[in-house]
Amino acid sequence: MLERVGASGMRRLTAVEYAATVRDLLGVDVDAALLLPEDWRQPFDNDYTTQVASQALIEGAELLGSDVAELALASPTSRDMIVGCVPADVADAECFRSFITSFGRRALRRSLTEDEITRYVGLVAEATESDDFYAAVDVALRMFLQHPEFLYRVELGTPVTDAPGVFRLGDHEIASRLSYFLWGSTPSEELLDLADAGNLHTAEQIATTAEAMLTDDRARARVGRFHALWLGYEQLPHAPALADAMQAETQALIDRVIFEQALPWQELLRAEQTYIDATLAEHYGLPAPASAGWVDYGSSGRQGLLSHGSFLSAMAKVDDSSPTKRGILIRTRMMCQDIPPPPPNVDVDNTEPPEGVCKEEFYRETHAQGGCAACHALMDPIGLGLENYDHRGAYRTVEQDDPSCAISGQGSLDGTAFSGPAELADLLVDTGTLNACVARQLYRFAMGRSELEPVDDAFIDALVAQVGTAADFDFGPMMVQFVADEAFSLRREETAEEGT
Amino acid sequence: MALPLLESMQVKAGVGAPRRYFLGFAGSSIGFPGFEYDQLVPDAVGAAYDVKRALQPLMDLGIRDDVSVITGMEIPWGDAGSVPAGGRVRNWHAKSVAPLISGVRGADDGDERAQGATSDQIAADVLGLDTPHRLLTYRVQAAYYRGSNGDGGDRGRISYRDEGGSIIPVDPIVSPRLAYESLFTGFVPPDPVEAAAALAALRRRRSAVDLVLEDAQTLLPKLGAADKLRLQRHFDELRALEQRLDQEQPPVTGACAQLEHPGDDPEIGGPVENGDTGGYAGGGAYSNEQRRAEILTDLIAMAFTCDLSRVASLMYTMAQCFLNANPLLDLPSDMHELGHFGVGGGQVGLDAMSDCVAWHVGHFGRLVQKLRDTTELDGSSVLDNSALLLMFEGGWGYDPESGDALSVHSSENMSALIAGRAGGLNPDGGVHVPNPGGHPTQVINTGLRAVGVDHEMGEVAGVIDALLP
Repeated sequence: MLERVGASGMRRLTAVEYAATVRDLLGVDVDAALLLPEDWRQPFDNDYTTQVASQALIEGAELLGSDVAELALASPTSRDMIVGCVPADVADAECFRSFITSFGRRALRRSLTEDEITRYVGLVAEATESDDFYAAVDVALRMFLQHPEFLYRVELGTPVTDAPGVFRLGDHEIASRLSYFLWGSTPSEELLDLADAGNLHTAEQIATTAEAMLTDDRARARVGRFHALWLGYEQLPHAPALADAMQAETQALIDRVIFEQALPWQELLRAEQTYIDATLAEHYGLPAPASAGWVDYGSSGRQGLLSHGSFLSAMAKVDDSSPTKRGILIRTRMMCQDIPPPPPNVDVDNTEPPEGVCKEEFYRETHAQGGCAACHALMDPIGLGLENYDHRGAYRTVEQDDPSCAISGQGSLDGTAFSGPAELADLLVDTGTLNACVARQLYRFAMGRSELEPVDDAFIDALVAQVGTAADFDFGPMMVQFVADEAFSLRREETAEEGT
Repeated sequence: MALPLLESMQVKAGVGAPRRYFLGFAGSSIGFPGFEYDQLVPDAVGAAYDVKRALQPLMDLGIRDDVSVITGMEIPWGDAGSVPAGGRVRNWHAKSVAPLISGVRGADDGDERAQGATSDQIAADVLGLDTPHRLLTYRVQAAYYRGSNGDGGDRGRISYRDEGGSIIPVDPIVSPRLAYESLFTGFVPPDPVEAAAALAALRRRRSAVDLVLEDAQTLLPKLGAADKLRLQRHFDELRALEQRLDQEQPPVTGACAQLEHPGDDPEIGGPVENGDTGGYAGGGAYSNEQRRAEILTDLIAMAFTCDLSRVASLMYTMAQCFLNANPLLDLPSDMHELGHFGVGGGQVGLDAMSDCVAWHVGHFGRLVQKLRDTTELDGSSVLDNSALLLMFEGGWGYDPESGDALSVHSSENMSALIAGRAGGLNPDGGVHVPNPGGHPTQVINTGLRAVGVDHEMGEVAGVIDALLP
């Protein structure tokens, strides 16, 4: 088991995690991205190796904390709920202590020590100074919201005997790992109760807890976000109404397959129905439902997530699809293969066919010649098989820049011919590589690290061995198996070089 | 430990006005495909140079004679393993930025991070020791705007510091509201009621930060080596904030004054597509960068005036800028696409490209104008004691990536602007100085020398002699 314990370091909450956390803690909605440094997408937004503390972070977090505290204390109802008691006088130390103890536990995701409580309760002096009990609460909220154990997920653990550099996480640290992996947010009161009671460290305890967590709506949003970041449709370059409809379509499919009907994950690629509204129906050329709902694809040639506008918009060029980029998307994201970067003498922006030459002809015959041909043979034939769908996922039969050019829609994957997303989806399922790739991407997302090492591969291999390499698998149970692996409850300490 | 501001001002009074350094960056080239000229480079050399479309704001603002234009420079290129000193790899997008801002050749593997410390950090190590803010690092463009296709990351940074041999990227402050709150932390309004409220707010902030600092210090020894480094950086920045909260407010005399609060930040715009929103084209978006640029410019000007900071870097637009130009210039595309036939080719395309360049020049010029019109305690202007630079991501000419002879994907024919009179900079006022074959980072060397920072950037030696006394 020690051979599959991956390295992990302090992880700052992403802007999305921060917003979800304060919503769960205080019932407050904020746009944290306005004040926190931008999170890189690699493709996931939580790669801690890209996070570097800066003045922009420190002061952004301070101002954000002040905004959140102000919103949280804006109404008597909200502040009474947060404080949990009604102060008997302006500097009611007992009530303040009760607030510090309960809120501090939630904010720092562990019980406070007596020493910490005593020090934090000293902030009640602000109540006297300001003649306002809630002025002290305000300072305490700001303090907790810029505390390093709030902004970062700090894991210490205890050293594992005879395993230098490996640490076993405590129950509270496991609670945080679980909640940010499965919910993208802070542990609930119930989760902390389990940790307090020491009931969150055996494989069985963790698996049971994870199964319960997956019934929460936050899990749906988290699993949706995993897919959106992974498959590149988290942000879509379309008008809001169209983009929202596309994302709702894909989220509805994920909800149905993974959470409502507990179908194999592969059904995301096989679905013969889709959830659309009138806007999307018109966009796809499908019959418009009376209101947003499920409709049959029928003989449209569409099938599953690969025919969603969300997926077909990913990695497009500004005004058209790119067969090469679609090929890269399939190879790197869905097959977990590496594509070498283009040679240094290739102008990757200059991919327009010359005047009078059809795009398909250009890609098949002249786009990638000589030394480029080998790599492009891995990418372009895949994208050409999706060319009947434009950069917004609308169906077309002719090229948009030259309507005299008919699109054949014929492509191939590793020598097997296909046409359209339905046939590509079936081919991908048949490759027998999807399970390992999904597990690999899930590992990156869970561990917050895009660059993987051999020990990470060992964890992924063990997970794939449980779900099978080629057979259909259920995504929810895979997540449970992921967290129930003993290695999930351990961490390998990084070297100083890895901190730079 | 920084000096209290009043003391700092007294020191300043004894030795004359302090010198200030500003580095601006535009994520843009200056030419257009197929053209063998641009609309930035004047025909005339020397003073009273002719102003073309891209520099028109200098005339409109009445500052041409305060701004020098250095032209004809280039960043050399090479393939992996043979990138020359101060050079870039052959591929274009964002690869010129690292050598431009650091003077050190870009990474062989295409990593876009600067491989050496940048001039704002180097200047701040010398000039920024006695001010509340060692350095202001801001960015106007709110986000990368390339949606899921993009990898903003290093394309949104122009500040890197040397941390014991490791080059560490520094995130800019992007929120104008945050920049304001950070800068005017120590100001207390004259109205007694407002003053009491401001002092109470400051006291509360200190209380919270002090406790957090104590806890961070307690946590540090418990961490492993890598996490210790990460938290130490966090701790150092937190300590710097604590010190700023402890600063006395600057004497609000002369031109130093607290600016009006800019209000809430403009929302970050989402990517839009052609035809859906008022003529947008491409994947670009807009977050009211016009307003953001105005606020950040005002803040830098006042920070220099009040001696809150003596060094600032401002990234107007990110490398390969996808800022939508429609709300700014009524051009139906984003700035990147406008450099690639976004509104067609020929003179129309070149004009559109030049207007994008001019948008950057206009905001840079506004800073120059404000500092020129601001009087120091000793009667000089702030501009007299400053070196202000505007650097561009690219020029035009040969593109080794495509083989095209006249491309905007080129680090030939690069230009830069430099204003200010610190250390005798610009002895002849604003002039046009061709520097054929010179490296654009020599302009940065010139600015540093003007403000008394004895440093040449990375692998790039030399200054623009004509701009120094």
